[in-house]
Formats: sequence, C-alpha cells, structure tokens
Amino acid sequence: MNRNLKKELKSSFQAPPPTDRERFLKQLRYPKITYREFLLAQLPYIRKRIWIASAFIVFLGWMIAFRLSAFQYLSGNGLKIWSISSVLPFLAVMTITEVYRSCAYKMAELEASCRFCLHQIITARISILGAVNFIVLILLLIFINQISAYSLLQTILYTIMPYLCVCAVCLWLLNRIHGSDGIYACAAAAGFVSVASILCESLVTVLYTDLYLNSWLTLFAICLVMIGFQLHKFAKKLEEKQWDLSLTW
Amino acid sequence: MGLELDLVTKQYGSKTVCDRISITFQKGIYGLLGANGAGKTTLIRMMCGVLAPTSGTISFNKIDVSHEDYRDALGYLPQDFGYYPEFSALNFLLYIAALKGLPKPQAEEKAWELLEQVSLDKDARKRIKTFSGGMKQRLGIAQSMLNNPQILILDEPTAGLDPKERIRFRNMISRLGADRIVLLSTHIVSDIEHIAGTILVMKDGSLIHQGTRDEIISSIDGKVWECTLSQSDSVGICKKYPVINIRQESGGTVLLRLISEEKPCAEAVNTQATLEDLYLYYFSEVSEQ
Repeated sequence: MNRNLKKELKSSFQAPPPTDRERFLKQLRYPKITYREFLLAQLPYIRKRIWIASAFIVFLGWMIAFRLSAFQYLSGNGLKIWSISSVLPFLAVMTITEVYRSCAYKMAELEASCRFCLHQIITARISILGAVNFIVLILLLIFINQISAYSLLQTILYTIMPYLCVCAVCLWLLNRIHGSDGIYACAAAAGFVSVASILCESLVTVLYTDLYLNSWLTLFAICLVMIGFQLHKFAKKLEEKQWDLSLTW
Repeated sequence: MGLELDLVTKQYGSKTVCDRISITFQKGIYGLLGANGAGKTTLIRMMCGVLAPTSGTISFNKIDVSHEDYRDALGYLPQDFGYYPEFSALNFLLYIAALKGLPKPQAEEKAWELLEQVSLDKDARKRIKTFSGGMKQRLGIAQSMLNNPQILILDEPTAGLDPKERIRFRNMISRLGADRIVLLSTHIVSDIEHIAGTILVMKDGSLIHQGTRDEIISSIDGKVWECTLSQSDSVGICKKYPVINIRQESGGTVLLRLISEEKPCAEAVNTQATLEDLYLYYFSEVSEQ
C-alpha cells in the first residue's frame, strides 16, 4: 500500500482499542533459545569461585615459574613443577563438584523435567568447565615448559597427574555417594592427594627421573581410562533415568 | 489427543510400584489422591519424564514423554525440590526459565509477573535460603508456570502452606485449569475436593477409582454412619471400625462418625458420605501402619 495513503488512513481513522491484548500476549508462544544460546546462558550460573580459583592458579603458576624472588626456596625446576601440581587437585575437585551440583542440591529432578534436560545441562557444564580447565592447564604447561629441564612429555605427566588422580577418584566417589556427602568425600579426596603430593617433596628428585617414566605413563593411562569409564557410567545413569533411585516412592 | 498413559508400569525388582495404569487426561483439573506409598510420586515422575516406565507409554498429543517437545509443554513442581544456595528468588526463576528455553527478555518479564502473582515480588532479590517453607512452595509454583505449560503437574503443592495461602493457591489452580491439564497429587482431601473436576484414587500402585467427586463418593454410599454412644461403648466401636471423627457431647456421651459395611450398632444412623470418608475407607489400614 502506498505510504502516503497509509498515513492518510491512519490520521483519518482511529484504530479501535485492543481487546484481550493482555491475554493474547500471555498466550503467545515465543521462539525458544537454541542449545548454543542455552550453553552461553549457563555461563553466569557457573559459580564465581571457579573463575577466581582458575585465575589464581594461573597467576600462581606464573609467579612460581618467573618470579623467582618470591619462591626462592623452590630452587630446582622439579620442585616448581611439584608445587604447581600440588595445587591442581583443588581445581579438579571444584570442577567435578560444580558438574554434579544438581544432585547435591536436589535440583536434579526439576532440571530433568525441563526442555533442556539434566543430561544436556550436565553436558553444558562439562563443556564450559572442561574448556576452562583446559585453558588453565595449557597456560601452566606453557609457563612450566619455559623453565623445565624435563622433556615436554615428562612436564605434562608431572604437572597434571595429581589433577587426573583427583578427577578419577571424585568421579568414582560421586557415582556411589549421593547428595552433599559426595561433595565432602571429594573434598577429602582432593585434600588427601594434595597432602600426599606435599609429603613427597623430598622424593621429587627421585620420582621425576627417567627410571620411573613408565610408571608415570601407566598411572596416567589408568587415570584416563578410569575418568572415561566413570563419565560413561554417569551418562548412562542419566540416560536410563536412574540418577536417584533413593527418591523413588 | 490429550495426555495419554497406556499400560504404564514401574517395577523395582519384584516390587510393582505402578501397575498397568491407563488413562487419558483432557483439559481440566485432576486430583490424584492416595496414601503415602501408594505410587503417586512414581507415577508423576514418569509423567514428567524424570523416571522411565518399565513398560507402557506416555504421550501428549502423540508426542512421547522422552521428547523435548513434551517437556516443552510441561510445568512440574516436585514434592521436594531444592535450590542452589547462592540463588535469590529472581535468579532461581531466571535459571529455570533458561532451562525451559525462554529468551532472556521474556524470561525476566515472566519471572516478575509470576513473582507478583505469588506475592514474592518484594522478596525477589532475597536468597531462597532465608525463605519460609510456604514462600519456597510459592516459588516452586511460580517456576512451574514459567513456560505457560499445557500440562501442569504438582506433587504435594500445598505442603508447608498456611490456610490462607492454601485457599489462595486453590483459587489460582482453579483459574489455571481452564485452559490446560492440571494434575494435583496430594493426600490432603480438602486440597482437591472443591477444585478437581476428576478425582483419581490410587492404592498399591493401581488406580482404583476415577470420576467426579460425586461419582467417587457414590462407591461408599450407605457405608458412613453416625452414632451417639456412652464413653465405654464407644471404645469397643472404635476398636472395631475405622472412625472418621470423634466429638465429645454434653452429658458424657460421644458422637462417632465411622465407616462400616453393615450397621455398626443399634443407635447408628446412615449419613451422607464425603471425600474424606472415602479416603479413610480405602486407606485406613495404610494410615494405621
């Protein structure tokens, strides 16, 4: 229609007042967000402590690697790797408990009934936190590799082994212990691994030798298999909707 | 069309919690009545896609319960829902709105509208952990309405509500039931007596009755009795029959209301049955346990 004609009509005839407008708007079904938008919408719901801890660990890694004056007592580069790796179990435990928090806080049932169901929510959290942890680990490895006298493989193994151990143990625990008890068990496991790592300080020079490289590789493989197995088990539980039989009738 | 359950069964080992339940829900309010342990929550969880049935199918307008579009049409208030400790009421609603796929501007608008409806708008930014049981329950009801669901399932929604809130809740449900399926599970008879168009009675995992209030009550017509007895005589009657009500009368006598297939004593007079009488008739053994 001609724009002028439209304008004339508008000025000559007043539109009738809307009837039932409110009801119409309430009934209107808006287009829903896509999974990618949902994934981004989940970002603000990741607890701040994860971002703070991740930033702190990266900062600590940088300090240990390059600010020798503050960490003079860590004279050997083996001790530097050891000190950074001892902190990583706490990042692991925070990540794992963040992924599982639906079950710990009794939100799982409600989340399972939503459009983006529990399975998709957990996947979203794993994707976001996995990416964050990956960036943290990569940055730490870059820092450590600058000062490390070890090969890249050894540096990777020595740095992330406590992290992987805690991931494997926490996943195993959370597949067995429900609710907030599972989170306490994970915290205890992380504390244990971290303390064990600290107690091994005097053994660092021995353990970080080529002699034990095969043992490190074996442990690394065991942890990876265990993490994969436990994640698969958890995913299967979600698919079969057996995530909390204790709630049933 | 509508919400169809076809031979839905749930078993845990040898125990059958829901046994071949078949029913079709159309628009309106349905009350699911049953004692604790009757299988109501298990049935509801299967209808919400939270638990998978051992056998049978659940679908809404031919969309299977496992499908995203089914969940898109669903609003659910679980019996015992939690919340993340850092959440305020508004945050909680926005979080659930995101899970329900609402775009942020619409989610905020809807969240505020619902907070106002359940009278929590002034407490919107307070943490949920500071809320009373009734406030949490109202918040739960609000979250279930975020996506303007075509199926609204509420499991024990009035738990923790005071009488005033309970009446307000009933009125709210009455309004909502006009253009959607509302299923209200409870063991509190008064919650559904006046608002549910259809009442479903569940016992030992099976639906033993379904119909309007009057249809259901007719199954115990002629079985409800009232009698005025002395204190000593009333003791024997109370032991023998399920007693609904005992009222002390003047002159040391007692007015008993009880359920019995046959006339319990010479003084007994047959009286009009209520839904509460029916509940006691079917669930007196369970209640005593």
